[in-house]
Amino acid sequence: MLKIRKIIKPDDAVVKIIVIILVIGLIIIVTGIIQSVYVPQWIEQKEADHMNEVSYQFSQIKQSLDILSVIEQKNAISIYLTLGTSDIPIFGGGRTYDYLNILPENCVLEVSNDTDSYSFSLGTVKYSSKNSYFIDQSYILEAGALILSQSKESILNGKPFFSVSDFTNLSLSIINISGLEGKTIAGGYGTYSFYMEYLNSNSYIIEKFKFINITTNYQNAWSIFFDSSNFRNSGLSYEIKNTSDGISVEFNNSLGNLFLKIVEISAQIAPG
Amino acid sequence: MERTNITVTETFRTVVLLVISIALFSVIYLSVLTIYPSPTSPSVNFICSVDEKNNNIIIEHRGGKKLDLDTEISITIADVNDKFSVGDYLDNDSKNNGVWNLGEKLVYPADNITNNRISISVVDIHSKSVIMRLGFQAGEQQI
Repeated sequence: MLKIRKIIKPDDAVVKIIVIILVIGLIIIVTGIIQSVYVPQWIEQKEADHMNEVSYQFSQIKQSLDILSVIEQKNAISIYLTLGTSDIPIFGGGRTYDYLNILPENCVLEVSNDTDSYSFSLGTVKYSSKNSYFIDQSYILEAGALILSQSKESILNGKPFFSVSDFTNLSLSIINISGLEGKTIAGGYGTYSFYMEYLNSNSYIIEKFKFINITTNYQNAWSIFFDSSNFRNSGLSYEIKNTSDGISVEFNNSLGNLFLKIVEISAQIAPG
Repeated sequence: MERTNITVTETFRTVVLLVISIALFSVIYLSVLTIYPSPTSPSVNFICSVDEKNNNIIIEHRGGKKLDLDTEISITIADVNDKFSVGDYLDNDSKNNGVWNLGEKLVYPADNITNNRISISVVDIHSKSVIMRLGFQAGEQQI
């Protein structure tokens, strides 16, 4: 019986080994390119999507605060906030951890006329993202306004309630958020409940008001508020100035009254 | 003499195979290494509004990545198209930082926008991508 033997020559083996090494090298290069070029792009897009989600969630919080301040009854509303982004599949990486704080006495509203000055320290809520690739953004609830901040710039996403009557009288509704002790900071990754409860409201009448000063880190956002069409077309005559720690609005013909309502809201962000 | 020839032939064959293998893979390596993905479309939020009183179209940066001043805007009003750079219609204060950033507004003065169909597109020239495209009838509902 004839036996056919296939003899593998040593030269063939050398070529096969080199081809295998080259194929492995190619796979490593392709993986490296995906990791260094495409993965950061995917993560950045995911972080941008998350920021849009947070924007929507904060608009819901602002809406809830407005409802609580309007109905003025002992009620509570919870809104869920998503902190951080999850890992991307297969390649991993991209997990971020965000922060949410209730900051006591972080903003000061000062109203004055020719003889007296009234000062109100207000608590604020601040969300801070810690993105890896997309630009970091902060959402701030300050005195009833919803502010978006990135880098040093800020814009107004929601304004506090105000109205002007008889071209001279101004009604302004401000929200003061106070945190439950030990429940004012949440940081990490996950979905957290933001619990808001109406406490009470106090009204003040300041006759012949002349100045409204706001101590804030978000001068541009407050300038947008006082420079808004509603305000400008109200008949009030005023001038907006940036100060070292906020903004100052000086009313030129102070003939009317300021009806100021401070709504006290208790909030809790940490679980338990 | 014959054995020597065989050895030379085998060596030559191996060298040729190696050269072909390395050459082919070099081409593949170079092809892979030179694949640079085009920059992705930047994530930016805009709000477009129309000031019919003053015949202005306003586009405001509402968060996200900063855009260069050479970002291209195309506005078509009643089939008349105008293309320009963002820097052409940003105010000087906004242009000082060299970018189109959060809260900065582009105010485009139009001749007559009332009851005309308006199309707006924002094109990032670096990624060659359309960031925003919008069409509406001024004075009527968005379509």
